[in-house]
Amino acid sequence: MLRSMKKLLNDCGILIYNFASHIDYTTIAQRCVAQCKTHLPNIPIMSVGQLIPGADSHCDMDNPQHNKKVFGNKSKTWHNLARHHSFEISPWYRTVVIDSDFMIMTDQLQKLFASDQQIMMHRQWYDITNDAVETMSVGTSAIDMMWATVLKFDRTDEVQQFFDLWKKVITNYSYYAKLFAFSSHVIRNDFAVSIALKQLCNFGSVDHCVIPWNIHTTRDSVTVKNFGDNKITFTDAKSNFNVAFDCHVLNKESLADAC
Amino acid sequence: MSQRRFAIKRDLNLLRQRCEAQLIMVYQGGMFRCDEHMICYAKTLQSGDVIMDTNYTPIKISDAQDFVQHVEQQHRMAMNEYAEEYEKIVE
Repeated sequence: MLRSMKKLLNDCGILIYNFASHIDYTTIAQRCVAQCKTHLPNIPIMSVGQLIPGADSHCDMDNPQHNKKVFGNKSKTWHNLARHHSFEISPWYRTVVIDSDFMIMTDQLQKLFASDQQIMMHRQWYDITNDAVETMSVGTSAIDMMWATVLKFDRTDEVQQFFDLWKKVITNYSYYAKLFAFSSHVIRNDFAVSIALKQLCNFGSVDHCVIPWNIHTTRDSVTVKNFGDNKITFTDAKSNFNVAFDCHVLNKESLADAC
Repeated sequence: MSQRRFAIKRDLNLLRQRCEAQLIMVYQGGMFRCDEHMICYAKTLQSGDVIMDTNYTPIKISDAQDFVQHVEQQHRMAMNEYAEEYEKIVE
């Protein structure tokens, strides 16, 4: 079957954002697209922001609201505040938004496309360095942090409400930062989606929105040594190791170098 | 020697995490963890029964036999890969 036909039949796809910063995000995003095509060959990919070579379609967008993040020991501009527009941007009924530093190594995300759950995100993360599965909190509140790294959503009214709430949290971020006692210096999508989802559920349980496996994450101190289609080789103070599963890489500089 | 032991332990932990993720199966829009408990539970079901998925969503199992087959298949696939990769790590 032709790839374009598959798109029409599936009505689902992957959104990847790409905005230039001091890190070569286009190289990272290009590799991310290539990995998606290797492991999820039937799923169309749309790039947002700057064009990502290899993506099936593109949505132009100017650099969004500026944000700051500490890379190494320096605070630098970071364009991560556009993802709350995904509901308007996505042309599909079922969408998975992934960070460009989330490297696909398996077809595991296919399960999200098959699920009828309207919104899904990771709550537990697997810290590979310390071999620990953890859940973080939003500031000092009892709200568990949901990871915005992988976000699955369907085109429904309830999900639109979620995105509206997400936008409001971003707009009033300093208010929520004071309320839940976290830093307002860096606007974190993770905190914003966690608060928005809680609001959507009237501060009740969000268990039904949790992706039932852990997001594999390597910390800033772990550098990417090598990159293959099915595994990434990392190195840290202790040794080299391979990860043959979808992995969120926090050390973006080494990721860009390895791509 | 201790470094080698540490590397093996880390690789095995990574493998276990991957295997646990692979145990997840989607059936009729619901997500199910196809572990040993689910295999036993699935075999008690009758067509038309409603069960909860991992996200506490009720899912009606219209064909219990087909569901059992899918659960067993997913479990076997994950376990076979686990065994294969385990051998590679410890050898």
